[in-house]
Amino acid sequence: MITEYVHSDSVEEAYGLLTSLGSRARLMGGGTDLSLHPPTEVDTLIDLSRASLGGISRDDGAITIGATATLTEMLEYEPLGSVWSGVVHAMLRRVASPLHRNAASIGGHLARGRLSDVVPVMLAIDASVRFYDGAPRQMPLGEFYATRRNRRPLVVTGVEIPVDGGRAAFRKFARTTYDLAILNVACGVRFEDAVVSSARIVVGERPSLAVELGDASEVLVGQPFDEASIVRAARVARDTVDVRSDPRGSAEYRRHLTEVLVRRCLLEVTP
Amino acid sequence: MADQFVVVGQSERRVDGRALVTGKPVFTGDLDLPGMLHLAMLGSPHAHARITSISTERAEELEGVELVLTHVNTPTVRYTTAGQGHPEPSPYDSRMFDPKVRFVGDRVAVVAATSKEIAEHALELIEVEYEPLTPVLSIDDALAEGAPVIHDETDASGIWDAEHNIAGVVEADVGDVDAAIESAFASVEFTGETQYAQHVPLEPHVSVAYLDDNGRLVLYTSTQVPFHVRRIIARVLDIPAGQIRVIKPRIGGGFGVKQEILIEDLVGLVTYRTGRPCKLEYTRAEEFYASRTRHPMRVTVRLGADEDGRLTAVHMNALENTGAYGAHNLTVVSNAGSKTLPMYNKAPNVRFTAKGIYTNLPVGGAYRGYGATQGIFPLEVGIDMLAEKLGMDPLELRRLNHIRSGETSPIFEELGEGRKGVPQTIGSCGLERCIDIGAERIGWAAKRGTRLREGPWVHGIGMSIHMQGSGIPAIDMAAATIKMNDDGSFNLLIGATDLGTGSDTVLAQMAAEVLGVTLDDIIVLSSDTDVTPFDVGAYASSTTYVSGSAVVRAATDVKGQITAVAAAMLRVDADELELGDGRVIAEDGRSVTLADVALRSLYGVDQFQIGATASFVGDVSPPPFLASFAEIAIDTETGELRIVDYVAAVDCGTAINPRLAEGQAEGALANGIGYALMEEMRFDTYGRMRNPDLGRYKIPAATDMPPLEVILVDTYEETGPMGAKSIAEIGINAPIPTLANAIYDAIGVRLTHPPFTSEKIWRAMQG
Amino acid sequence: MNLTVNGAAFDVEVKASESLLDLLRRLGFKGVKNGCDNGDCGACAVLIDGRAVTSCDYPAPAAADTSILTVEGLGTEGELHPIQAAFLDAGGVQCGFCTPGMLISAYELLNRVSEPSEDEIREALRGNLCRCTGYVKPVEAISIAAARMREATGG
Repeated sequence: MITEYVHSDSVEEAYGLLTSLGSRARLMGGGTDLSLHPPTEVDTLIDLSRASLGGISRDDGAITIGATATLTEMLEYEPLGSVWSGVVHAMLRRVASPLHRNAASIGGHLARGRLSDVVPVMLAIDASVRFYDGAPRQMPLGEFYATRRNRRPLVVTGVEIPVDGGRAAFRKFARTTYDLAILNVACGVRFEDAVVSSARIVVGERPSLAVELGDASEVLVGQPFDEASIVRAARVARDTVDVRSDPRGSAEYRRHLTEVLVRRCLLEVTP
Repeated sequence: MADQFVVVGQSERRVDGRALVTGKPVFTGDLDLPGMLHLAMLGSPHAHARITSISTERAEELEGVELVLTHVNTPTVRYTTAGQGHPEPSPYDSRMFDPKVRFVGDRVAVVAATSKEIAEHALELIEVEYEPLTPVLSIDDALAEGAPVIHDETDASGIWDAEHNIAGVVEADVGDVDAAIESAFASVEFTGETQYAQHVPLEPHVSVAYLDDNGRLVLYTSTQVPFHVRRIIARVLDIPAGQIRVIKPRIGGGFGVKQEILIEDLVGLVTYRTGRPCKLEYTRAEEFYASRTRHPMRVTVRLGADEDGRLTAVHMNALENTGAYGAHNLTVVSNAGSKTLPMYNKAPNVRFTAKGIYTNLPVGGAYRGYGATQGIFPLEVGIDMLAEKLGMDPLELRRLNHIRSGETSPIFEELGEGRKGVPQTIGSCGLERCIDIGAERIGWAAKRGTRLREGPWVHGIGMSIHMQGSGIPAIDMAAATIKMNDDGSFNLLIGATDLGTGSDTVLAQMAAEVLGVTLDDIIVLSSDTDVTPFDVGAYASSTTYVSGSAVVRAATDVKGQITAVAAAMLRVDADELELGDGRVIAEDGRSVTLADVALRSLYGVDQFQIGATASFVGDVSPPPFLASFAEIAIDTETGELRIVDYVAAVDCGTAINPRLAEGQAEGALANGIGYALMEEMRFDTYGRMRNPDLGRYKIPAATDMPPLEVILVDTYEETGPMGAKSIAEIGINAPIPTLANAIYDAIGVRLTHPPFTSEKIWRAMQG
Repeated sequence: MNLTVNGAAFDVEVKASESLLDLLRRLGFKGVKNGCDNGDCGACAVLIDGRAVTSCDYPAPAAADTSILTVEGLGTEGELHPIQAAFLDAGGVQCGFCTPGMLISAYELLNRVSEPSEDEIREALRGNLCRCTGYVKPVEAISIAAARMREATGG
C-alpha cells in the first residue's frame, strides 16, 4: 500500500531515496502500472517529473531525450520524425493511445524494458541510455539489458540517439490496433555506399524483453543490401529467435511472424 | 412513409443528452447519501465446492464494518435472477448465498462498511473452509457419464434434469427431417461453436439502496427491468412489493447484462437491516466473471435442398453452456431457433432440438441477440455451403428461400420463449430490398469469388441475412400515462427503460406526433415503479413496438379528451378538429391553443385532468430484417484479417428517429465485429477467468472499426406504432456469419470457432 | 496540496495511494467516470495542464499545483462547448458513460489540430472505449465540431 509520495527535485536525491528505502521505493515517470498495481512491498513512490529530467535537444551527432519526456513530447519533436527514416514517430503512433502517451515517459519504458514498442526501436537505432547510480553513466542500451544493469537501483536520466544517416523500420503485429504486440520488430541499418556497414535486427514481445538477433544482423554486414541477403537474414532471425507461447500468440506463430516481419522491415529499409 | 409525419421520422436531439454531455451526476454511482455504507463482495476461489465453515467474527470486529452477510444469516428462498415476466421461464436454482459455490467468483460473503477500502480489507478477515469438488468445465464434461452434479440441492425447481446437469430442453419437430435430408438432392452439415463473451457495458453493475422517510425501501439501480426487480426482491427479501420502490437513473450501457436481478438483493437487505443507505459498485473484473455473459453454444445445422435449390429440410441442434445457474437458459437457446429458422420458412421439414447445460463457469444471461447470435452462424454458413454444392450464387439461394410478406412459418407457433410460441404472418418485409441494396453497395457481383490479390493480401466477400423480433407476443406488456399541464405541455410517464438506447426520446416523439406538439412539450419521466405505469423493461427489442404502442394509445385517448374540450370551446363537432403546432384547429381555420384547452379543463368549466393511461400487449412480434455484407482482405503470410468495407441494410419499419436507429445498428454491428474477431473470455484449468480486464479482453476501439455503413430501408409495419418495428438487437448477429463466409470466399477455409484471430486464420491456411 | 479544477482553486488533503479520479469524484466532479479500474477505457480522462490523461491511474499527489479540466469545465452553464453541441447534434451520445472522456480527448485534439482527418480523429479517440455507438457518430461529431470551431474563428 502506497503511503508516501515524494516529489523529488534532483536525480541525486531520488537515487539516495531509492538506495535507502530499497525495494520499498519505486520511481514514477508518469508510469501508470505502479499506481494501479503496486507490488505489496512498495510503499513509496518517487516522482521525477519536477527533477529537470525532461526536454529533448539536438546537437551535431545526436538527439538527446530526457527521461521524463513523455511519448507525446517525443511525437511532437520534429527531428525525431526525420532521423532514422522517421521510425521513432512511426512507432510512437502505434503505441497505446494519446491518453497513455501523454503520461508515459521514455525513462519508464527504458527502465522496464518489457511490454514496449519503444525499446526495440531504441535498440535498433543504437541508442545509449544515460543513468545515475551514484555517478552519471552512459551505456549502449543493448548492454544495459544484456548485463541486467536495468535491474539494479539507478535513475534513468535520458537516452541518446545517434544521428548519422542510418535507416530504420518498425513493424508491430497485434491482435487489435489498441493492444500490446504479439511480436514487434525493429531494424536499423547503416550503409557505406551500397554495402551495409552496420545492422541491428531486434525482436520484441517474444513475449520477453526485446533482444538483438546478432546472427541475423551478421548476415547483412559487409554485404550489398539485396533481396537475397534480406531473405537470408529473415530466415536466420526466424531460426535463432527465442520465443514462447502466451495468451496473445503461440511460440510457433511468433517464430513464423519473425521471418515475415523481419523481411518486411528490411525491405522497407532498402535505400 | 415517414413524410406523412411531423415529429416522427425526424432525427431529433435526444431529450436526456444535455445532462450527459455536461457530466451531470445522473448515473447510479454518482449518488452519495449521508451515512452511506459501501459493499464489497467475497467470491469463491473454487469453481465447485461446498463451504464447510465460515467465520465472520474478525471481519465484523473491524472498525467501520456494519454488517457481514453469508449463507448463514440470509434468506434461503430459491429464485431466478433472470429479469423476466412472472412466472419466469428459468429455473429457481439461485439463493442469495448458497452453502455450495458453483463458479469462481460465486458469492461467499458481502461486507458493508463505512468505506469501500474498509469493506475490502474486511474481506481478508473472513475465514472460509471449503471442500473442493471436481469442477465441470465444459458441456462435454457436464454430459459425461458419472459427471459431478452441479445442482444437487433439494429445494430447486424448474430444472429439467439436475442429475445430468441439464437445465432446460426444447424441441420442435415438423415433418420428417431425417427422411428429407436422406432423400435430398444436396445436403450439408456445419457445426459452429460460439465463445464466452461479455457485454462490457462501460458502467459495471451498480446499485444503491436507502429507506425513504416513511421507511420504504428504495432501490436506485442500474437495471433494465425495474418492475421485475421490485417483484423478485419482494419475494426474496420477504417484503411486500408495495413497500419497495425501484428507480432507474441513467444507465451506462446494458445490452442485456442488466436484465437481471443481480445485486439489488444485497443492497436491499443491507439497508433493510442497518437502516442506512448503501452502495455496491462492481469492479470491472467482477463485471466479467460475476455478472452475466453470452451463452457459449455449439450449434449444428443440417440442410437439405432439391435440385432447384429449394430447401426441403432444416435441422438445428443447439447445445448451450449456461454456466453455473440457469437464468435465461431455456429462452436463449429457444431463440437460437425461433429467431432464425422462420427466415427459411418454406422448408416443409424442420426440426429444432436444444439443451441448456450447467457447468462450473460464469453464468450466461441475456445478451443482445439472445440466442439468435449463436444460431444464425451455422445456419448462414450452411446456406453458403449448400449454394456451393448446388453451383448457385449464395445470394440467389437466399432470394429463392427467404420468407416474404404475407408468409408464415410453422416455427412461429412451435417455438416461443421456452414454451409454445404464437403463430404469425409476416406483415412488412423489406428483406428483398435489403439484399438488393446491400449487394449493390458492396459490389457483390463483381467481387465474389475473384480473390483479388494486392501483394500478400487476398480479398474476399461474404454476406448473411437476419431477422429478430419486436417484443414477446402475448407476454410482454407495456403501459404509458400522459397528463396535460396548464401550458399545453404534457408529462409522459413510462415504465419503459432507456439504457442509452434513446427510448425516452423515441417514445416522446410518438406522443408529440399524436398530440401535435414539438418534442419540447413532452416531459418524460421513466422507470420509477411508484410513478410510472408497468413495463416489462428493455429487452427482446420491445420498447419501440410494445411501449410505443402503449404511448400511441394513451396519446390518442388524450387527443380525444382535448378535442372534446376544444369542441365545446369552438362549438363544432369534435371529429372535425385536428391537432397541430400546439393548437386545436377547426375545418374553418379557427383554433384554440392547447394552453387554452388546459386552462379551461383545469380551472374553467367541467374541470377534469386531461390524461390517460393505456396498455399494450402484442399479438405478434414482427421481425426487423437485415442483410449484411463485408469485403475483407487477408494477409496470406500472417493471417491478419482487415475488413475493407462493411454494409448493413436494415428494415426496422418506420424509423421513429433515424439517427438513433442508425446508432443502434452501428453499435450492435461494432459489438458483433468484436465478437467475431477479438473477444473471448479465457479460463484456466481451475475455471478461473484469466483475462478479466479491458487490457486483455479486447473490444473494438475507434481505430479497429472498418468503414461501416448502415442503410435504413423503408417499410411500414401495419401492426406497429406509426409503422415501426425494432432495431435494437439484430445488428449484433451479423458479423460472425458474414465474416465467416467472407473468409471462405478469400481463402477457401471454413472457420468454426470465433473469434477469427489472425493466428487461427494462419493455421487454417497451413491446412 | 493545491490544485485548480475548472478554474477553481482547491486546497485538499490526499492520501498517497489515492487516484486523481477518486479525488475529483469526492470533490464533486461526478462527470469523471470509472469504467475499468485499469487505465484501459478512457472514461476517466481529464486534462492536466492541457494534456488528456486517464485519471484512474494518475496518483492524486502527482497533480499537485496543476490545472485540471474535467467535462464539467467545458462550456458554461448557459452555453455548451461546440464539441458538446456537436455530439448532441450528430447522435454521438447514447448511454453517455464514455462521453466525458471522449469530449476531453476531442478537446485536446481540436486545440492542437484545427482540421483533423478521420484517421487523426480515430487515433485521438483510440483510448476511449465505447460499447454503444461503434464510434461512427462520435467521429462525425468531432469533425462537425472542428468545422464549426474553424468557422467561428474565421478560418
